[in-house]
Amino acid sequence: MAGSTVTPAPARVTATPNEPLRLVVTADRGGELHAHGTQPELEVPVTAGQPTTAEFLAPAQPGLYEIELHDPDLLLFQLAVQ
Amino acid sequence: MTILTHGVGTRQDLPIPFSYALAGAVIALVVSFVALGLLWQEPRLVGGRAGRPLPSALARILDSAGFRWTLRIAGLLATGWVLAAALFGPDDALNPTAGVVYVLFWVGVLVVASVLFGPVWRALNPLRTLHLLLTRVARIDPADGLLRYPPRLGLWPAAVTLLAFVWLELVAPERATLPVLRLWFAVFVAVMVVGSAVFGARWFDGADGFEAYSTLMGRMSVLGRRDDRVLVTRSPLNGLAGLVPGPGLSAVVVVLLGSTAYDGLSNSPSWIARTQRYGEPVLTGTLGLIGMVAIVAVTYVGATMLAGRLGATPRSTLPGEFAHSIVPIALGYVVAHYYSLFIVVGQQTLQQLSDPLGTGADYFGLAERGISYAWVTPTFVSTLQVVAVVTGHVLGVVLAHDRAVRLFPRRQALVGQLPLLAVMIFYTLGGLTLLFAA
Repeated sequence: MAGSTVTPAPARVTATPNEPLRLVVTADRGGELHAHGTQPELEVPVTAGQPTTAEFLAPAQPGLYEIELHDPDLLLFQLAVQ
Repeated sequence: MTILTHGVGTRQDLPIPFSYALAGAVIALVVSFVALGLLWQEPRLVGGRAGRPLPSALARILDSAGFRWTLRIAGLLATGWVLAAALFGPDDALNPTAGVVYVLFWVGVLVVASVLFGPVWRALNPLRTLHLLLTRVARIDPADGLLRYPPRLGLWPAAVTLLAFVWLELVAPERATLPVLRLWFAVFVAVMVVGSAVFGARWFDGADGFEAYSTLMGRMSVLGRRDDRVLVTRSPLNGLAGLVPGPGLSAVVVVLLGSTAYDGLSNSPSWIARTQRYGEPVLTGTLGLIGMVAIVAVTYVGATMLAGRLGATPRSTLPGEFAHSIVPIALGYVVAHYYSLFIVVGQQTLQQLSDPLGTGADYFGLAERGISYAWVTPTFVSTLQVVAVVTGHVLGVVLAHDRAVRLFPRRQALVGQLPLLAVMIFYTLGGLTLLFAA
């Protein structure tokens, strides 16, 4: 993330329920990575300029979930669990 | 906090390829249109004159003062319960207020209960009840205000309050938090109180967007009231055909349809990717919402007025004459957008209502019950979404056709519907594409 631009551009990423996922985030500012719908809800601090790796399980229930960076809110991608 | 991300399905969840679903939807509309042209050449819907009277004993109960007051008191008690949570409960993810407002009330009461039983919010509305009680105490007629409600206003104020609510639901920052919900409803209540003091109870009919929505959806109930005030069971098509056009009616249906379109748009990754880089979510969201309402308004009014070039009916009345045909389309999108949210968040909210103040109470004994996901499997939800959208449009084509053969000479009736048919195909394709955004 640079400024308010996310690369690659936000899209829908598919996963299966409880699939192990690994996410690497590099941002030009500090913040918090937040994966909605995960149990327990994933909230990982992100330091400016340093790659942050988060490992978590996809939500157990099928549906569409937002993976965001706070604050200000920036959508990284939508996780489509099916 | 975005607890209310709609659980919309994905293209991959459909049992058939997405392009087949789109092609099938267009074929369904065109085939219905041709079949109607061949088989339905005279107007068949009689609207407000249709219906079979309910057994008189049942009708007497439903119309009794006791039953009406039971509903009003139920409305007051339920509102009081939620108000306790909204004013005194903790502002966290377990507070039921947001779920009540956006799911149980907006979808459950105004759509589900209204489609089943008729215009229920009119009967439950706590503000209407308080107004009635105050006028009783003051010994004045509730219909009386300081001024007469201008008939030219019609439903225009309701269209404005509805637009304000969908803006809250889809655009407002922090819209699931208590301070934002409290502020919005405080302003709404103030507008209703002042308006009803000035114009009397007629203000609620014209300006309460929630009543207008519930009343429109209630037209699809098999329970209804005939023009002679008799309670009847009737076909939803006749219920809708009995909708009397008036100022602002088209505006209300356009806001409803336009807002569901924006709901789909705002969830699509390409819209998010294009807008979030500006860092002005309220501005881009407001423009997006108004843009979608404007697109629906221009296409709908344009298509109906174009039909008017062919007939003798004054053109400016035509958008109102066809407004009823948009109601089942709006219902189709509501089902498509909210079904899974209603099932899942509806269950969660009922559990949260069992402990409104966050004290660990369980007044309804629901805390132990888990959330059932049995009826929200991805394939079922995706299929339901397509079926709901297509069925809504097919019913819209039927209603528009019946109205066209009533208003226009027979030969011109079919040609006159072509612009509206084109618009309905455009809505179907646009709506499904937004709903199943890649």
